[in-house]
Amino acid sequence: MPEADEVRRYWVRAGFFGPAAELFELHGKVPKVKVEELSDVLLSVTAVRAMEDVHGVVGRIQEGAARILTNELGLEPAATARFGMALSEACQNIVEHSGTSGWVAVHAYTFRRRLGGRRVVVIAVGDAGVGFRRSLEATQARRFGDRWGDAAALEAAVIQEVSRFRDPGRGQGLPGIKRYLLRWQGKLSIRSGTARIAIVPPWDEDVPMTESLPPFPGAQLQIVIPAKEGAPTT
Amino acid sequence: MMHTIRVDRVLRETVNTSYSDLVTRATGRAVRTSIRQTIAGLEGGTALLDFSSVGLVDFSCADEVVAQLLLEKTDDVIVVLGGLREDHTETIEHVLTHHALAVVVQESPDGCPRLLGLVDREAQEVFERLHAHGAADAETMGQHLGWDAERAQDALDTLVRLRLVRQEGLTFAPLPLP
Repeated sequence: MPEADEVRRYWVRAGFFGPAAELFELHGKVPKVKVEELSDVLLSVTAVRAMEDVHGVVGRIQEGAARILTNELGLEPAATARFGMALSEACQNIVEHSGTSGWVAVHAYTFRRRLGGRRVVVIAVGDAGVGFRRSLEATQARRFGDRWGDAAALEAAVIQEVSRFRDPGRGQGLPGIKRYLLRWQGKLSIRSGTARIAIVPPWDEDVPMTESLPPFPGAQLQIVIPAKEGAPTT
Repeated sequence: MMHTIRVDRVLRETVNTSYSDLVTRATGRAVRTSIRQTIAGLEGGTALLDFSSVGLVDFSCADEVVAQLLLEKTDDVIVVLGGLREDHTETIEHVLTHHALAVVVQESPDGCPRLLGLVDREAQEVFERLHAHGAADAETMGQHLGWDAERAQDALDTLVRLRLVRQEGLTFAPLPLP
């Protein structure tokens, strides 16, 4: 268990300990949290092992997503469906590309420093699979030559929108997510291997590419959707 | 002859899900296979895929259900779409444009059909004219629009290739819609 009570409580709210207990031996007492503390959790940490799990995730989240996206973030009513699509495509990437299972969680937060108290919704997806470099190696490595590595693989997938499949219908998920994020001034970041790429909106000061990070097997994808300017702040 | 296929029902019967969302490529593939079987049992005419009770549609599923179905060609049956919400329209348009495809959308029995996907302006104009004034050959269409016959023929050929109008000899006609 983490030593800091705040961290322990956050992990309880995130629903971390359930899935963690399947993988780790947990020592220490899991604190209890009040129901009202869970109101910002749209989806606790949920395993995605197969395509059926994606149906469950998307189906379960819609009511809560509609409440937060339209009421708190001030997005258009159709944003709930678009959000569901982005979530679905992000989860499918685990099943399609990682070669193993992964997890997804969706929370609402208040960004006090970066957005002056505006609310955001964050989708976080992670897996411990083969990562972007290995997933794209067979079709893309030769094209990049000496440049090939984790950063080049992320660039190929996110910026050049290539897919490991030769079927021309494949690889429309990430471009679709990017289109929505552009409309909402949202942020996309993906870490895989030793690199991390980000599509950075004007409100954020992140860098587009970071290299030489400690190796991370698999991939972590994060989507941040901020409240519209003028939406109520907390 | 118009045959309506309720996509939400196909989804429930095919995937055995309680949800009404068309998500994931595997689901799309299964739904398309089922729709394809229904279409194979029809003797020509138009198959209207009714999305009115479908929840959300993601890009992967839209690609499998709509784009791949149009790419497969469906014998003598022409596929049109109905009951699309704003977000359905946006997603399906995205995948159709990706494949340089287009489809006829019939929003309501008394409304004008429209095109969704990648169609140039001239083909769009000819499509609208055909639906407003009925069947015509290339020369007549050219006269209506103030174009030469060759230009009208090119636009009509595009619409036929994309299976958005019917050709009977030298005459081009709108699809039979409700």
